[in-house]
Amino acid sequence: MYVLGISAYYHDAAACLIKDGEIIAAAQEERFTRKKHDSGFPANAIAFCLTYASIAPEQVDHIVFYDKPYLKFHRLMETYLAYAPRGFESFVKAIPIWLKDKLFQRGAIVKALNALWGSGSDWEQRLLFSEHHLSHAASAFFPSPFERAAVLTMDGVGEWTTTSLALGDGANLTVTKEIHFPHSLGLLYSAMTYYTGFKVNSGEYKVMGLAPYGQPKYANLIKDHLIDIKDDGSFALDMSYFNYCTGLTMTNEKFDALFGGAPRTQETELTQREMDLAASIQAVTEEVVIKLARNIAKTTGEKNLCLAGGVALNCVANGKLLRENIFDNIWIQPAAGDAGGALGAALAAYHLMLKGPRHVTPCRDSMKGSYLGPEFSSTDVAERLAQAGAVFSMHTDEEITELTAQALADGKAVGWHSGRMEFGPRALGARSIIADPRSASMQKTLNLKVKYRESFRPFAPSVLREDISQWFEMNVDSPYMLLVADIVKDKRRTMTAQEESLFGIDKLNIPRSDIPAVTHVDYSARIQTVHSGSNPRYYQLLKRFKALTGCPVLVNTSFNVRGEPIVSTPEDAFRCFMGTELDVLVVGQAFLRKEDQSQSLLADYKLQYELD
Amino acid sequence: MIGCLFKFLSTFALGLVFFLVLTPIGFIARLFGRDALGLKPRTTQSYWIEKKSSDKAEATAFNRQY
Repeated sequence: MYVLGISAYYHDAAACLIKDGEIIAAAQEERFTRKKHDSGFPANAIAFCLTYASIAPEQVDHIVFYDKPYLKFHRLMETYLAYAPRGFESFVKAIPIWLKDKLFQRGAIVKALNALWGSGSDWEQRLLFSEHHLSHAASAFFPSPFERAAVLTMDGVGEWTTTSLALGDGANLTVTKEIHFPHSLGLLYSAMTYYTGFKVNSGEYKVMGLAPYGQPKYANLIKDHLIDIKDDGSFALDMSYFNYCTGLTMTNEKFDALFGGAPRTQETELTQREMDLAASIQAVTEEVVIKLARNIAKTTGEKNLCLAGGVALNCVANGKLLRENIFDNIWIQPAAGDAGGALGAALAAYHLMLKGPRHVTPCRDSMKGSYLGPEFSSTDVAERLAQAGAVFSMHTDEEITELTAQALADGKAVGWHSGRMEFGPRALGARSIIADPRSASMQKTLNLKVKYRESFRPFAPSVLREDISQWFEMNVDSPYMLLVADIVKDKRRTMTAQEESLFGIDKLNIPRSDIPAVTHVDYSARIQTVHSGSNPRYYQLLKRFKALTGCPVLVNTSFNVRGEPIVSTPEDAFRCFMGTELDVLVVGQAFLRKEDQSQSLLADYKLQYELD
Repeated sequence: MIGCLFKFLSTFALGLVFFLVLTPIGFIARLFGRDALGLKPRTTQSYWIEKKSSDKAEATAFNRQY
């Protein structure tokens, strides 16, 4: 039985296909349309899923949308009722969109399916709706390696729910309690993201990356005024400081007055104040997550915890939660944001409505390493690259490993396009830019010449699973780059007082460890463990790099420039390669050197995408 | 020109709904103590809302948009 999950119309549109509960294929629409966070109907992603499985549309037994539009509309109306006569500006903007599309979501989806698949079958008969947080909870529990678990979901908002607790047992999953809009940990974090001058829904990562530069000076102010946190971790916001219910901004004048000034405008200079605000909101978030987890462990008695929802992408908070040892095991859905809702919606309908059985492999999740996207055969790659005018040579896997490891050891920046594309926001060694983390200048080079950003965030390391504890203070699997831990002490270098007083890129460029390119100013790193089972090619590459250099760690950053979706096809990869100062490109079994390429294909790439 | 007129009319119509329907209903509801968003300070041990068993996902719930 085939079930197709869809998320669309709000943030990241995506599609996912499961067969008898097994995850077959999943991808985000942005990778195909090349429009970051594309929220349109995921026609390309759906087409990919069916092509990958080699099935016809008629073979899809059910199509499941990831949330319930009527419940969302109800929340919207209740919000207007609670605030009217305030909120007219938002009402005028929102209602026409609802009347046009969202209120008649069933019709809109059926229409889009007819356009994509033809109107030969009655797609409406097969269309189902899951609840937003049930979708998140299902995406966190069903693919996890646990028979039983407590499931905590946290995000901005779904229909009404912003936080939920569910209990998973075998093929069952029951949501037991919730916290409702407008009281939301995700929206509180987004409000501070907005206030510190970053984009809501994508700049949250920057706030998290900025936090280590600051002191949580404002944490008490936040807890005294903005959020009331109970002992069990449940919380309520004082909405008089926020504007997101009725206005077009996140915060209001009262919020400004509390923190002593207007929000920072984008692209203006960051000051110590923003860093302290970031550290403060991060500290409060961690406190809430840990309190919630403690109470959940106590009241449910469960030993395992699953996480999903946008807040679960806060890998710093996840790392802290792990070190608290509240649960024996923690598993986090790699596509924790709304894209993962497509996966969860399909799994929820299959197990909960259709009563499909669930098979758990202990110690191994069923996400297939999150390598669920398109892949390209070696002949296909060669044809596509030749068509694009690339000069390349084809090699065996062993030769590719050797050539790439050598190039990395020589200090080259490498574009690495290999196997199936990742599902979720992180590049995990299938569409990655990789480099030597030992080089003191690599961070600078990658930031300025390849990614075109000047970042206060360091890059993330990929490390061989068996070597992790020699380099990082952690010894669990982190295949999805969702846990942050510190570099071990004997690999660190203490900074002088003078160096400590630097900020941002200047401070980040001072080597702080044996692997400076992946070490944050507080010695932390966002770790991806690499396993031979889920990505053997990447694993072999790391092994060979270690044999050459003694270092089982590589810099791993997503294969794109700032503001661009991660590359998908060989052509995308070649275009990005030619538009940046990457030295080497590997696409499957094809190997490309920059100096061999035709100069006429070099393109200035950095102005094509707006800031994220 | 017609686009402008249409926009004006639709904003006007939305204004009627908002100020003559929603606003009075909201006002009266608040007068009777309705607080659907939990905006008023609450004296409670926990902000968790227990999900009633009738709300819990039964198999048929997937057929509905609500």
